[in-house]
Amino acid sequence: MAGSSTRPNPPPPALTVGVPGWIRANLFSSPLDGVTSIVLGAIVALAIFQTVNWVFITASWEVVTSRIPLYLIGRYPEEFYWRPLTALLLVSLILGVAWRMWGGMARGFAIALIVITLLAALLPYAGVDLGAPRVDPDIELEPSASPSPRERQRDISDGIPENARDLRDITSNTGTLYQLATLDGVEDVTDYYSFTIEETKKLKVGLWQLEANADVTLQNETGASLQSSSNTGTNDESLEIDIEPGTYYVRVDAMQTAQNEYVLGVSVADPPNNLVNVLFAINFLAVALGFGLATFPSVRQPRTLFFGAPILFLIGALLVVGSSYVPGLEPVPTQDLGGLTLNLLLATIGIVCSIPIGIALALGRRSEFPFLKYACVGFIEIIRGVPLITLLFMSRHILPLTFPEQFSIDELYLAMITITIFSSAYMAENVRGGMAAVATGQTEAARALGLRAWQTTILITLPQGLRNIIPAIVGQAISLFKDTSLVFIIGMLDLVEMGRVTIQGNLDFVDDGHEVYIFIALIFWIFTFSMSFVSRKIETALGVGTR
Amino acid sequence: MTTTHSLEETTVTNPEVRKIPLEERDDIIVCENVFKWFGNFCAVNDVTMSVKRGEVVVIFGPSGSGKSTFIRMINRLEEHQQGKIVVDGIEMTNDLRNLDAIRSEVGMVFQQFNLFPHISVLGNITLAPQRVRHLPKAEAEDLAMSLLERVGIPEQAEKYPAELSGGQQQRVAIARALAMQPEIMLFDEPTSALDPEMIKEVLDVMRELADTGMTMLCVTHEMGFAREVADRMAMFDEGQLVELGTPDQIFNNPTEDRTKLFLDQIL
Repeated sequence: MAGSSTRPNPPPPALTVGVPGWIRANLFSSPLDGVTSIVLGAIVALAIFQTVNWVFITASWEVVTSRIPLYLIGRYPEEFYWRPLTALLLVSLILGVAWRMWGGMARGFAIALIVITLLAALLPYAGVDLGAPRVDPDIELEPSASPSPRERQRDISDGIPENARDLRDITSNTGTLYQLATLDGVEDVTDYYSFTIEETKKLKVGLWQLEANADVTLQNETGASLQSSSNTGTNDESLEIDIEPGTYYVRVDAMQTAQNEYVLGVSVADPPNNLVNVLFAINFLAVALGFGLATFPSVRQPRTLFFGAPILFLIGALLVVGSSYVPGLEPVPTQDLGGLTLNLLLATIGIVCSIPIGIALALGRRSEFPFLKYACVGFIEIIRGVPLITLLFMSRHILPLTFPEQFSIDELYLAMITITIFSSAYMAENVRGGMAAVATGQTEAARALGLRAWQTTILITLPQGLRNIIPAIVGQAISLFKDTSLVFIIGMLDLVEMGRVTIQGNLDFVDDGHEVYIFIALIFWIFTFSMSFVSRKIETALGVGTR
Repeated sequence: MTTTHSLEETTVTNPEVRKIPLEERDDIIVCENVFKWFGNFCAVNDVTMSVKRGEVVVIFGPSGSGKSTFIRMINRLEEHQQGKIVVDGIEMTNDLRNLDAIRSEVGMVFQQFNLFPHISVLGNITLAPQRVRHLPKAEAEDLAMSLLERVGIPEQAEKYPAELSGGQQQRVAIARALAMQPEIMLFDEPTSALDPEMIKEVLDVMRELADTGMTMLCVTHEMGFAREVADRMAMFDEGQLVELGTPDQIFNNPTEDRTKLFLDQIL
C-alpha cells in the first residue's frame, strides 16, 4: 500500500481525536453519561477544593514538621545515627542495581532518594534543622531537677548576675533540664540562670506555656548577649546555638501580670554530627556504585537481587539494632528504637528470615514422611489461624510464664521472632503453591536424566517455584510491613504508636490527630506503593506468566 | 570448539551394530506379560515384546492406546504392576540402585520438550552429566558443545530455552538426553507439538541418531519416518500390542484388521 497512494490521508472527523475526542467518547457519549459526568465532576471538584483548603489552610502541620526524626527513627541515640544511614547506603546500592537493570520507575525512586538525601545533607546549612524533638517536656522525661525558690537578680550593674540560679544538673552530661518558674507580684522581672560546660555543645533553650510576654537571651561570662528570642505575646521562645566551653547565663525577661508562669527548657547536646551530613551527602555515590556494578552482565541478573538484597537488608538490620557480639556496634536500647525505622526493621527481618523457614516448612509439607509432614501442616495451620496481634500478645505475656525465672528475652527480639514465625507460615504456603505450579514434565525430565529426588527439588522444582512466587513474596512483605504497627501491643513505639503518643501526650498537639495520621498513612502508602511497583517489575523481568 | 566431533565420541553406541542381522543381536529390552492400571482402567494389557540392540522400533496407535505409558515404563516414570521388564540385563524393581543404573542408560525425549526454563541451553545439557556422572564442568561443557554441534545449534548455547523455536528446543532436549550417553533412547511423540516446518529438523536428527546404532523406541505418527528408519513397528490399541512387524509387513500386509483400519485413517 505504501507509495501507491496518490490521495492525501483525509483528516478524521472532528471531535473524535485528541482531548475533545476523549472527552466526548468517555464523558459525554450519551445524555445520561453527560449528566453523570457533570454531577460526579462537581463532587470531585468540591472534594479536591476541600482537601486543598484543609491541607494548606486549616491544617496545622507543626505536629509533623517539629518532630520528623521522632517519626522516622524514634529516640535513636544521635551518636549512632551513622548506623541507620549506612544501612540506607546499602539500600541505595540495591536501588542503583535496580535502576541499571530496569530503568523506568526504579530510576524514579533512585532519583527521589538522591534528592531527599541531598536535601537532608544540605538543610542544616540552610538553617533548617529537623533534629529538634528533644526539647519536649511531654515526650521527654520528667524535669530532672525539682523547682526550688528562685534567686532573683535585678539591676545588675556590670551585666553579670551574681545570684543566678545554677543549672548544674545539665552540665554533667548531655540532657535536658526543665525549670518551672512561678512569678508573683505585678512588676516586670528578669531571671537569670547560669551553667558551665566543659566541651563544645549544641545548646537549645525554650520558653513555653507563657501567660504574658516574655523574652529569653543567652549571655556569656562577660554579660554579652549571644542570641536572644523575643517573640510577641505568649508565643513560645526558643534559642539554638553551638557554644564553646565556659560559663553562660540564660536571662528571662518576663512581663508581669497578676499570675505568670513559664517553663524554661535548657538542653545541651553534642554539636551536630557532620558524619550524618556526610552520609546523607554521599548517598548518591552508593546509587552510582550499584548502577556501575550492574553494568557487568554477571551482576545484572535477577538472582543478584534475589540473593543480594536480603543479605544487604540483614546487614542493614544488624547495623540499626547493633549487637554485643560485634565490636563497634553497641546494641541500641529497645525503647530507643521506634518510628518508621522500627516498622521497616521488623518487616525486613520478618520477610528475609521467613523465606528459608517457609521453604523448609513447604518441603516438609510435601515430604512423604508422615511425622514430618503433619508436624509442618500443624505448625502452618495453627499459626495461620491466629491473628498476629494475638501471637504478639501471647509472646509477651503468656510465653514468659513458661520460661525459667532468670531467663528473659528483649521485646525487640520477641517481636522479631513472633513476626518471623507468623510470616513463615504464610511463606510456606506460598512456596508450596509455587512449587505445585511447576509443570510435572519438569520433574519427569529430571528423573529421566537420573537426578535423585532431592536433586530434582533443589535444582529444578524449588528455583522455578520461588520464581513463580516472587510477586506473592512482595505482596506478603507489603502486608507484613503494615502489620508491624501491631507491636504497640508489646509496648513498642512504632510509627503509628509514635503518632498516637504525640497527640495524646502533648497539650499543644491534642487537636492535630488528623494531621498526624494523614502523615503516617502517606508514609505507609509511599512504601507499599513502591514495593508493589518493584514486584511488578520483577515479575516482568522474570517473565512470570509469559513463559 | 576447534575439532569437529565424530559421532563415536559422543555416544557409547556403535554404528557397526546396524550391519549385524537383527536375529543375531542380543535383546536389550525384554518385556514379559506387562500390565499397568490407572485405577480400574487397564492402560497396558499383557504386553510381551523384546527389542534388539541397535534396533529402531516405532510404536503407533490411536490416542489412549497405552503407547506412551508403555515406553514410560521402560525408564520407570510409570511403574508396571505385573510382569517383568529387563533393560540391558537389569530387572526393573523398586531397588534404587537398579533404578539409577537404568535411568542413566535410558534417555528420554518428551512431546513438550520439558527443558528447564531457568537454566541456559548449555546448563540444561551439562546438568545431569555434572550432577549424576560427576563429570568436571569443563568436560561436561565440552561434551555439551559437541552434542549441540551434532544437533546443529551450537550458536544457541548461551540462550535460555524460551528464546528458541520449538524445533530448536526439541533438538536441545535430544542433546540433553544424549549427554548422559545412554544406550537406549525413548521418544514420546517428539514432533507432535511442533509446527510442520520444524518437524523435519527434529526427524533428521533422529534419523542420524539411528544410523549411529542407537536403540530407539519412538512413539510417533510420522509414518514416513517409520517407513524409512524403523526396523520394526508396533501397533498398540486399548493397551494391547496388536501387531509387531517390519514396516513392509505393517504397511503392505497387515495381519490385523485394527492395524489396517488405523493406517487407512491416518495415511
